[in-house]
Amino acid sequence: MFGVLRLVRFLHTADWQIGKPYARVVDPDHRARLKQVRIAVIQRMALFVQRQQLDFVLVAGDLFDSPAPARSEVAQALSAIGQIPAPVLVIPGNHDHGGPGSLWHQGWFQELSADVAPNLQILLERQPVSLCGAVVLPCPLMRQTAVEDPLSWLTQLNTSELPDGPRIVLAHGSVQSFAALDSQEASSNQLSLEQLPQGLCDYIALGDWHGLKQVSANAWYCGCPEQDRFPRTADYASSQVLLVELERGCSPAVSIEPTGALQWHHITMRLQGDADLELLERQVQQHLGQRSGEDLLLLELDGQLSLTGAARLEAWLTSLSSRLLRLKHRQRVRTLPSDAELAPLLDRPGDPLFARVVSSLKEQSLQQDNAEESRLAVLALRELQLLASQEI
Amino acid sequence: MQLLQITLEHVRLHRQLNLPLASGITVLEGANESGKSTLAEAIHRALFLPARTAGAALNQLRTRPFEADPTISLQFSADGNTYQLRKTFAGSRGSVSLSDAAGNVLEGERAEERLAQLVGASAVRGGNLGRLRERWAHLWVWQGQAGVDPLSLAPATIDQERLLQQLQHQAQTIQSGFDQQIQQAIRQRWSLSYTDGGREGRAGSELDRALKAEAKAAENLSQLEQDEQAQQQAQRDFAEASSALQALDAQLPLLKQRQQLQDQQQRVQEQLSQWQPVLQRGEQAAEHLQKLWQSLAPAQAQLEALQQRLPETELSFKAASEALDQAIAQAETLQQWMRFLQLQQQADQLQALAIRSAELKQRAEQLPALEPADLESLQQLERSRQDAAVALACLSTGLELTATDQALLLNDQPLRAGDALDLDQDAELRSASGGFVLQIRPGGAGRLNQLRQTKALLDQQLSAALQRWNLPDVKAAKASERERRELIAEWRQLRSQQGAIAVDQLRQQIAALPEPPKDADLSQLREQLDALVPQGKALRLQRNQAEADLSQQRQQLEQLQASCQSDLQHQTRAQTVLEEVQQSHGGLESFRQQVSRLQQELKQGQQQLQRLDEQLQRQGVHRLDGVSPVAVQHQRDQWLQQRAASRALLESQGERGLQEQLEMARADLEDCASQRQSLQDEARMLNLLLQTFEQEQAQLSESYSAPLADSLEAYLRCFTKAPSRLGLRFDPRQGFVDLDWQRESGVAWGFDDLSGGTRELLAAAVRMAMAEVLAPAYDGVLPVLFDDAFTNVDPSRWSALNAMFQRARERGVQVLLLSCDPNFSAAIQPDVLHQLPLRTASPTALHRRRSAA
Repeated sequence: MFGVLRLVRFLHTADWQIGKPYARVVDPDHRARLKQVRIAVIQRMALFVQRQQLDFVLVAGDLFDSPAPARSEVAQALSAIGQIPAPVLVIPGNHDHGGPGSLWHQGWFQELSADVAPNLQILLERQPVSLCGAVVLPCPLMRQTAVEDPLSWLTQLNTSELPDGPRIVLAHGSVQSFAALDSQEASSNQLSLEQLPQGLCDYIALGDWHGLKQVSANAWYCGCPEQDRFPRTADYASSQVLLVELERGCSPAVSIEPTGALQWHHITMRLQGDADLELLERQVQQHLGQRSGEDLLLLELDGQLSLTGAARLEAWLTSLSSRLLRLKHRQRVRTLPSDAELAPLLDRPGDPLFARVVSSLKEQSLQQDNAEESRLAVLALRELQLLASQEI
Repeated sequence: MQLLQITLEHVRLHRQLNLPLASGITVLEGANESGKSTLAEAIHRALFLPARTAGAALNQLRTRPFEADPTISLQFSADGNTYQLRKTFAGSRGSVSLSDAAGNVLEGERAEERLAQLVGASAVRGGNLGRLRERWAHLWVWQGQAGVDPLSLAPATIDQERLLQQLQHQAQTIQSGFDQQIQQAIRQRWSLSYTDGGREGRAGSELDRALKAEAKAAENLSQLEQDEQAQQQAQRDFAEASSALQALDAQLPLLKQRQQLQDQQQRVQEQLSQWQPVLQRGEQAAEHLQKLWQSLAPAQAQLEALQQRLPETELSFKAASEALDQAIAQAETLQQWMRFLQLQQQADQLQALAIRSAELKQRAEQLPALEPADLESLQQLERSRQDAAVALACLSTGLELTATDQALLLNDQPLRAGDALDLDQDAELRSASGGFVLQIRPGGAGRLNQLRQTKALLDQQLSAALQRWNLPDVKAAKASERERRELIAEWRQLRSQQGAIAVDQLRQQIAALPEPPKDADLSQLREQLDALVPQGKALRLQRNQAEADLSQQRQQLEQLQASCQSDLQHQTRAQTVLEEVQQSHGGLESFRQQVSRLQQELKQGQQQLQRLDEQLQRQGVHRLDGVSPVAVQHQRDQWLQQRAASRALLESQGERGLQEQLEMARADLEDCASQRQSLQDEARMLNLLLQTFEQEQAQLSESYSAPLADSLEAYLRCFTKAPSRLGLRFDPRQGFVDLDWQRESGVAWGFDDLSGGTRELLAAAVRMAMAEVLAPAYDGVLPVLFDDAFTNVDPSRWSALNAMFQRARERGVQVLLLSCDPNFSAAIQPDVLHQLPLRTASPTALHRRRSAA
């Protein structure tokens, strides 16, 4: 309106999900560590904002994991936000929606926020917010599953009344083309970006998808600042924030800033025999290096092992899990006793009953039509092997 | 083990009894109550009842009355030695001694222990009679127990363990200690997770706890999920209420405006609906008036023309009518004249008839009023008189005096010669002298006279009758009657011609008619009348035409008059309507303008309403029927309540951190499920192991049961040469089971399905086969005792039974048979036969002892 339109520089982040319980991590220390790194990443973001002298920070939803997170974790998060030397604008997402009963409306939250994070602005209204020469168009989610497209209000917006400056849509939800990619991750809040009037905005800051994704020329999912799940695909990128430089009417300049501390690995392997165990161990070792307590591993194994191999794998996994924050093990490895393993069990002329039982179980273990019975037969053979070894 | 000799002292009814027993078959024969069963019991108690036993077991052995302590001595061979066992049963004073051939003597407990080793079963302590009878249950067949399946007895009572050992020896598949140890260990671990009945998750087991923990975790999760659903529902309710309220708030002012507009529209509509018919009537009246004006004038002109033409037509009609009337009058006069003449003719004819009639009547009256009956009466009289005259004539006598010389007198009348006469009455002929008198009486005396009288009477009557009628004779009477009758008939005919018309009446009618001219003639008059008829017809036609013309004109006139009258009335009415419009709305045109204004107003209102409806539709109100601001306000209140309620619920749940709890609960459930799975895997693995062990053991045992079944079949072949197959299965838990016998019929009969006799035979065969299998473990011999065990077996099968015993005898089985039936004893070929009570001191040896088995 007046003066020269200047370049706006801001941080686009989302899906911090503070308070995520990590319930499937059994070890309580590991759980605490996982929660802690999510606070620590805010502190790293604060340093980055300071270093880059950014105008503001946009959090595109799901700052918290639920609409009612534990107060202690809220307090830690607010303190960390308070250290960011710029305004932090937040919209509620599907996890921490702005409906009744959510923390955004709680008196204690508002007081605490005012005390320790005065730079925090919660955008609960669908109305333009003018900030540092830019116009933020927030699309907050007021319930877990919105009935209408959170962007719909923008289609009826009278743009002539908007102040000058780059316009940023801040929204949380899934874009049609991405909804199918990860049904677990994507919320059911559908965003129809194509319905937005041409030239309405210069950048669309999206949240909800935990990996990095550029949806269109000016629409980005920034992903989580600290990865929180095992990657499903090779190109899945998480643990980053986006630095966006924006001018009205120009394409945004987006740069990716890595922020994560933890490493999430996904290893898949088919074990063709006991010999492959060494290969597996080497591969895991390559991923972990010398680290302990910094990694999470999803190990998906199938194939076939002997009784001995299976026992060895079991022992190795026990040992491995002590180095990991979490070992998620999806095992479809079939244990099949080798002839060499069975020979000493079968060749017992002095123990006719034992030998007959081993022989019968061997047959049962090989049958194809009843997988459960076959599995139990293998377990029984392992047991007999163990009992026989104890006798020796 | 072989029983060699038994000696009883003071045992029940046996004060002293000594019986040597054959190594093969010993039969003890005796009547009931002779002490056979006592002997069976005594041997058994010597072997299995400790000497110091008191109570019932002791009392049963004592004599009645008690004489001395019962003592049983049993000599037997076992374990390669010959033993002498002596037990004196005296309660705590009881004593036992066991001495071998070498002179070693064991007494008391040691003797009992050694005895237990030798017989393969321990003594029954405490005097439990039930348990006592179970010892050697496979070898000792008590009275009444012969039909019991020996394999159904408890494994311990039939020495199953040793039986298995023997069978394993024969099958050469011995389960090792390691086998047993492993199986035992698995069973022990299995029993931690399974109930005795084989149900997974024994109460208190780790698996049970894991299952319960999982169920609890699932319940917890379910509860939280319900809470989550409730929360989501509340969110939906809240959002729904908020959205609805927002919509209603936007709708409400529009609806109010719409309501006002609708009210106004309604008022206009009502006004219009009142005015429109009035205007319509006014319009119609004006239009009608116009038409009336146009149609009334020519109608009136036509009316006048008609009215002028009417007198002329009336005159024509009158003239025609008069001409016709004259013609009719003339015709009537002619007709009356003709009538006059006709009546006159008729009267004259009647007059002539009357005269004739009077003449006839007069003539008739002049004749005697002789009726045919009267004539008949006269004729009758005449016929009767004639008859009388004929009869008289017939009776009269002819008298002719042909010559006489003397005067003769007849009835004093001279009779001369030549006179002839008829005498019809008595006569007297006499000479004048009187010298001669002849009385003549024609017809007999008196008859002629009677006839003459009758005739005279009839003559008199006839004459009187004729006189009365004034008639000369009957013939005249007849003519007179005929004439009279003809006159009367003619008179009557005339009377009928005259008919009912009286001449006077005719005269009166004639008098009432005009008199025709003097020279009038009927035919002339008729001609005149005939000439007048066509003329009359023409006149009538003329008159009718004139009448029709007149009627038509009058009708036209009436119609025109009515039509004009009606038009005039309509005119008046229309004028009244228009006058009213003039008064109320200042005339028709003004009224039209007023209505048009209202219609315009209504249209504009409708457009306004439509715009409002469109606005409302944009607000989401698609159906406006029944939607009123009041109803919407009511809805709004309800939505407000719903929003407040859902907000309250959400705010109350906001503190709970439901999502975190849910995730924790899901993880907990997964953890519990994983733990349960792990324990269940182990339990099922153990179950599989145990089952496999048992199955394999059973299969191994199949080889055990084979020798027993073979032996059994050999015994059964003694009974039937037909092919038969014996079914027997070994179950590790239940022992030998499923005994059945398939004979040639092809059906396998279970033991219980067999007849009583066959059951006894099969049971005996089983026992002997078991004894045969067990014998090697007992020094090659085992005794089998049957106490009255074949009472149901048909005597025809006794020889086969004997064959079975002989086979057993050859295979190391010592057979002791107790029977009350001497025939049974005779059918069996025993080695030794004892008969109770003992007749001889020594037994009868019937066979040579068999060679060693």
